Amino acid sequence: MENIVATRGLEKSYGRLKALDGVDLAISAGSISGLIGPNGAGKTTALKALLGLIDVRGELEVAGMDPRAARHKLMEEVCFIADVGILPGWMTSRRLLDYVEAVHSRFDRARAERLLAGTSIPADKKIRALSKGMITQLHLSVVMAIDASLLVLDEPTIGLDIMYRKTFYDRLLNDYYDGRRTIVISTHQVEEIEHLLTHLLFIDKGRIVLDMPVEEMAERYIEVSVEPERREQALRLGPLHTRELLGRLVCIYAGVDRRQLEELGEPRTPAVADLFVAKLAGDGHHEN
Amino acid sequence: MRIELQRFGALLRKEFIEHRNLFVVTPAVFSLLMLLVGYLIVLALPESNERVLLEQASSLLLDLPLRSATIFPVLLSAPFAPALFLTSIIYLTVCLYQDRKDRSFLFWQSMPVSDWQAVLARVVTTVFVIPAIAAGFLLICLLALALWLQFAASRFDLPFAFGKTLLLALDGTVLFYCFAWLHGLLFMPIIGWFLLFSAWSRRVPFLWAVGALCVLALLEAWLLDSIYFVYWMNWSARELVLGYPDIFSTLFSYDMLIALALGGVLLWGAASMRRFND
Repeated sequence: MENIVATRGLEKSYGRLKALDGVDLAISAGSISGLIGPNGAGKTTALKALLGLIDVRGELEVAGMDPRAARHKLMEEVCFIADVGILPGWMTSRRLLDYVEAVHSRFDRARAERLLAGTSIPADKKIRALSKGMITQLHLSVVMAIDASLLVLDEPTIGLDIMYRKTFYDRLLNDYYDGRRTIVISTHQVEEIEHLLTHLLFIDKGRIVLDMPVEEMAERYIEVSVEPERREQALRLGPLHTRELLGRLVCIYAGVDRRQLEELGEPRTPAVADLFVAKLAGDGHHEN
Repeated sequence: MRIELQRFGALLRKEFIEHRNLFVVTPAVFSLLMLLVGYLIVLALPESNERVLLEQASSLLLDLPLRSATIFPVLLSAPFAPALFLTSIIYLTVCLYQDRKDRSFLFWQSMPVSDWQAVLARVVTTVFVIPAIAAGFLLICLLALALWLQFAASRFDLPFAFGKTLLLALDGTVLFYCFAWLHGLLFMPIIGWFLLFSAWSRRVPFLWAVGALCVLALLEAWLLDSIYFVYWMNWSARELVLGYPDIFSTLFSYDMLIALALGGVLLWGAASMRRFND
């Protein structure tokens, strides 16, 4: 499948801190990619680079354009939500729609109004008077009414309660994603989005430490809750990560034959959160 | 091209709505003050002096040719010049800074609007929109004055050229507006300078902008042993309050060329700062 984002050797430093340290990315069109990393890993910096909001070194192409040279043209193709509360507080939602309608040729006002009709957001109330959840709903409605090929979400649900978080992702999947559009979501709350993702990108200390389709991940990484009598045997197979859970050893393996692991206990696909911890924490074991 | 113009129109509308309190309140306060001061002066005058004053005003308005009588509205519009300058400086200082302060910057950046368009919208607002609003208030003041003169003249049974006074009010307002945008263009380096600091500064952009001007003046005096910079600032201030220059000769002068070139460099800096200074 064609890549909508392609980067090679992206670098960005803030003083002596390397926020991006040779990031290579290839995000295929139509995927839902999760850019997952701890705080300060470089997620926001990477996304800002893709959006042309910061200057970076390295090769960078998004939707066939270099964001550093043509940010505003790129914004015809790309939408983003940085985090809650970035909408201008002095505007009303009606004026916000007026503005976006006037500046964005791909904005469908009727669709935005239909989406907003399903919420309790008043049209003539200033945005600063709305709750965080309402502001996010408003922003999502505006973004969903733009016929863009790439949507970038940077910690979009931070600070929202669980109801709004769930609604946000449900609307995104049901009303927006059509298999043609690409979505890149950055978060450190992995559990919240793992069921959506088709592609995983783990980032740590400015480097991509995992770049893999979810299907491939399920084939490559296997988690086993080891029978107590098989403990030594399990450790000899060189797990990527181990932890104790309810008195049993739980191991994550990379690239080990499933039949071998079946002797240790019941093999299963690890949760993205567990794989994330395994990749970032590590136990001194390296992948085969 | 049509979409670009539509975008630019939306940017200007957005600037007006966001800052309408500043744009409208400052000239409104000046207008009210002007009318109030005028009213208090008339109240303080004994009735005989009021009559003499009206007689003189009335005969001057009747006798003077229209072109020469324009001096009256021009003089009356003088207090609006500093009001306009004040409004523009406050606006220029906060307009780009505000986007970063309330974090709406990332929303504006998510729209297909270039940083140049965003900066130019601020320039056009400063040079053409703010003066247009001030000119509107000036016209209201001048019309109020014409009505009062008409009313007072009829009270004393004096002849009064009401139609000519209305024409003068209109003429004075148009002249004021031309003066305002012409000076806006001539002061492009100041516009660029404040926009640059508005785009750059993390806190107190006004103090940074003014402080940097003082540092530049001190550096010039210290390093070059000259005060051209202070001289230019002094000239600008006098021009602002007193100068009603010839429009065409100023528009096509070397001063204008230099001002636009220097202003362009500073505006380029402001656009670059806006882009990468989140």
